[in-house]
Amino acid sequence: MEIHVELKTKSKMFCQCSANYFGKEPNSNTCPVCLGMPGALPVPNKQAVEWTVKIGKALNCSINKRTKFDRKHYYYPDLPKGYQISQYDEPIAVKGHLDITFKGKDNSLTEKRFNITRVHLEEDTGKLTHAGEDTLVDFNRSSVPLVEIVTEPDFENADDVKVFLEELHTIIRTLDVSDADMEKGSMRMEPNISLSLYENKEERMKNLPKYKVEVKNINSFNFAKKAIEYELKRQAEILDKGETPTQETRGYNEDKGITYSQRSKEEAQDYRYFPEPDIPPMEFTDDFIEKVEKTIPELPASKVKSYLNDYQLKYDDAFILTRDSSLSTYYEKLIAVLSKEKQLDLKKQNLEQALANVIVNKRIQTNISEKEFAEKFIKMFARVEVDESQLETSLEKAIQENPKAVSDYKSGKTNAVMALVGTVMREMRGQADAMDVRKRLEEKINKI
Amino acid sequence: MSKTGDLTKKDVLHIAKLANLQIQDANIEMYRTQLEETINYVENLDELDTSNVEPTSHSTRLSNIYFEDGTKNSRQFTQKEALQNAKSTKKSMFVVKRIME
Amino acid sequence: MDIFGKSLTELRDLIKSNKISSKELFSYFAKRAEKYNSDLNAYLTMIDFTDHSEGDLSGIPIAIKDNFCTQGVRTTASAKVLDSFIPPYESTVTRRLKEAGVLFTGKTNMDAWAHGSSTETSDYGPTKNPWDTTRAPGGSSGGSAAVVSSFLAPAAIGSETAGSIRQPASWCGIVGLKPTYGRVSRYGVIAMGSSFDCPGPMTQTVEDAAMILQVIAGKDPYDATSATEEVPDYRKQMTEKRTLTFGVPDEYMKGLDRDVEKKVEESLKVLEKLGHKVKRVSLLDPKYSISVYTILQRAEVSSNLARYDGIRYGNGRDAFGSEAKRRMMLGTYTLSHGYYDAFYKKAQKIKTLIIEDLKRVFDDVDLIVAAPTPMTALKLGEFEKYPFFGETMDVLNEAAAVAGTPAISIPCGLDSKGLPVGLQFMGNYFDEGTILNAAYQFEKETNFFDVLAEGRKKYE
Repeated sequence: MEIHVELKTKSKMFCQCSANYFGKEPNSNTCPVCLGMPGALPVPNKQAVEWTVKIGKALNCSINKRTKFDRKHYYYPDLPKGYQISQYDEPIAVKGHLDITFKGKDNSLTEKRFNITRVHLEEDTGKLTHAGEDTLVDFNRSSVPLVEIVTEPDFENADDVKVFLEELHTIIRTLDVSDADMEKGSMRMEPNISLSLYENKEERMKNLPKYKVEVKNINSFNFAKKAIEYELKRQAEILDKGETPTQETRGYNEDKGITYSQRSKEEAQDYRYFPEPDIPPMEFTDDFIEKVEKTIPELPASKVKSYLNDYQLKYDDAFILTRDSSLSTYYEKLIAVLSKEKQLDLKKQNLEQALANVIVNKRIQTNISEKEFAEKFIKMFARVEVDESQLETSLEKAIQENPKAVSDYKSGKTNAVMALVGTVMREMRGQADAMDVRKRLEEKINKI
Repeated sequence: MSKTGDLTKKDVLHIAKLANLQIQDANIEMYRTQLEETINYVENLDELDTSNVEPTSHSTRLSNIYFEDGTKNSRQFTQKEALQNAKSTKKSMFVVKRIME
Repeated sequence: MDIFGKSLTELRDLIKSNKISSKELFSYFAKRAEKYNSDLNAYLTMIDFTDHSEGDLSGIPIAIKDNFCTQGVRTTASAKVLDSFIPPYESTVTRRLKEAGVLFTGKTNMDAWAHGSSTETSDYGPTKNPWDTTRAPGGSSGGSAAVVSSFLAPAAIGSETAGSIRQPASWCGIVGLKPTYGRVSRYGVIAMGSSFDCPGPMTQTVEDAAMILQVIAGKDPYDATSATEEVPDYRKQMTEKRTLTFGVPDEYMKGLDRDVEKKVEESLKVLEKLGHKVKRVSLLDPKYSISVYTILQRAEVSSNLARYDGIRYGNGRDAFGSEAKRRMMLGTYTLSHGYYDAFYKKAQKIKTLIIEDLKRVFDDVDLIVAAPTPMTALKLGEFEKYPFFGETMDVLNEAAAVAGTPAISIPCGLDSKGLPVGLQFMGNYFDEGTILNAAYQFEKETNFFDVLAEGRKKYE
């Protein structure tokens, strides 16, 4: 997989134009640098470099102490300089991995490791619009910082890809370095798909297929899954006929759910990389890397684990609560507030699980302040003070006034007692514990 | 392609394609000869032993030169300035011949 | 008032003491250009008088090489690709000059894209050498050298990738300073070889060069390769009393024209007479510098010219001249798949050796002295006889270009044909001060053998 993430820095990668190009008038967000004017020179954005280190660290990569930018040459109208400033042989981060726990088809939990080959920093291109005989170019997006994450071929099916992408998306959002919005294109992915006969990874890596198909224009996780499933089927059919699929770039048509050939017979690209002479190399000290690492908040996978261990949550609840760091923060703040509350009757659940249930089942919406949420929650689980004499009278009264229900219960229709519970609870105006009421009613009836 | 001596016409055309240059048939041989002349000259570098030498790409010895994110942008073009040197624009965008996708 | 032949320093004093207005001074040079430029073809574009800022160089007119982007003023780098290009932005060098009060007389002719050593590759015709209009002024800053030599401007800005300031300065009999790479910002200078390009002054006197360098040198936030070292007071360094050690590399005395060799030998005597120590040193054969430079520069050229696609500005790629195409072809070849290590990386390794070689010599001497070019001005058209269209004319300039060290070319007499001969001082990194000091001492002692006065005589 190749995943591109646009960073949400204030400035572009190599100039001071705004990185927020969305919705602006065409070519109104440019300067000599991002328009590739003669004599213009790039200067790298410090924040973008730090955030790439941050992403690398979050993906358990090792950070190259010495790294540099390179020029990658190809001609396309949306590439103003005729080359993209990217990183070739010394990317910022290499050799990482992501361990993901997920539910398999039989609902059992499995953990799988996806290896990260590299993470590097580059610049985005302009945007093309096709209109009749013309193609129109807008450079507002040109030179917005773009992080490319490349994985090893560790995906065995489309579900693996979806699980990985969702986890990566959550991590990027947690790091607060990108909107990672698929529809806006601030997170893009290009799966490279080929089929192997080898199930064992080592053998597979030794005998990589002789072709690969890259799929572009995918803007949701579900489409990624569908596109891959379609490709696997398409390629299997070709291979079954004894032929080899063409090495090519294909687009994805989301309406038809199919991939289609974009550029076939792709000549092996020759990007003529060489070190960017306009930008001195970068040298990272241990101190610098450590400082960046300290800005990484607890990541979702680790949070899931601590919710399971410390709060004894159900896996599904822990998973849902950790998908969005603002939700998990909200949840943790509520625990802090409510754990001081003595008047809660949580019916034998611990506070953490009770709170998780309420949030996950949306019994209280989370779009209100923590204080308001806590008030509603306290009301929902308030311990009830019972007037014992009134309850005793009410219990007796209910039994006497509902002989049919009593006899039904006695004849084995045990649910009949619920009608009596209802009567008592109404009489008590809710100021009693329904479980307790039921227990006492049954005792009394059994004695009759 | 070979390093010296036997650059072919096909090589020259391939290089021209990579360089995004149109080369007339009549000039192919000229480019081929010129390329060979230069390549032969620079072969003198093989006379020096570089087995334990690190390459230098920046003589300045600078490193970690950045700008701070959010620095004031005093170079931003107006839309008009961005477009004023273009041969052809439409809807405030640069025009190229339709590209097929 | 007699302005003819006045240096920048003298003109500055005239303006400061209100003996002449900046407008009068400007129109004096405009009129001269009108009279002589059709013969010389040194200016491509003339600039009108405007208001100027107040600063160190208030009201001083200076000519600008046409590869510096000047806001609102056509900038072509002498290439038809940019025939009608009007930059909506200013290069850092011209911005700093403007802020110091400088007025621009016009944009000077050059080899197209700075590709050449004769100004003959200009898409707008060659510039003629003011000493002999059948000869080339050298290049690529040939237009800048010619306007200073013929006094169509009291000083000019040039740029050097390898020899493009020193060689035309030598051929036109003026002072040309190539600063340390990174000392002067490249922002807004149409890139040729990004790891070599150096803007620098081309002047009548050493002091003028120091004064201009003072204004244009210094860290630029728009150029990541610009040096962070503090800029010293160059005129102070220039006038300090110093006794220096000069190294004369044997390898650089080989293959010189006999006249050139003679003038260099005489200059060494002048240096000794001034009390300096002159000793023989040994450097790597300059032929390796040519190879390193050729490989790295062509590769960078092929990359730097990739942006000219005719979409955002300028004409399409079919408008490139043959020299630009030839360079792009070679650069593309050396960077293409499988050749990077054999060419580009190898050249970068030899670059390391060249830097170490120079450093070793600078442990021993203050300056290296040599000719800037093995011969004096060639006839127009003669270049085609030389390999790579005259690249070898810069054989003695390329070590400093590759290493990124500073150097100056100053006049040291005339050859038997009556053409000016240059003398080169090469210094260690950021040691422009010592270079200017030595050149200033030489100038004080010899008045450059009246070469400048002789050169402008025809244009009085």
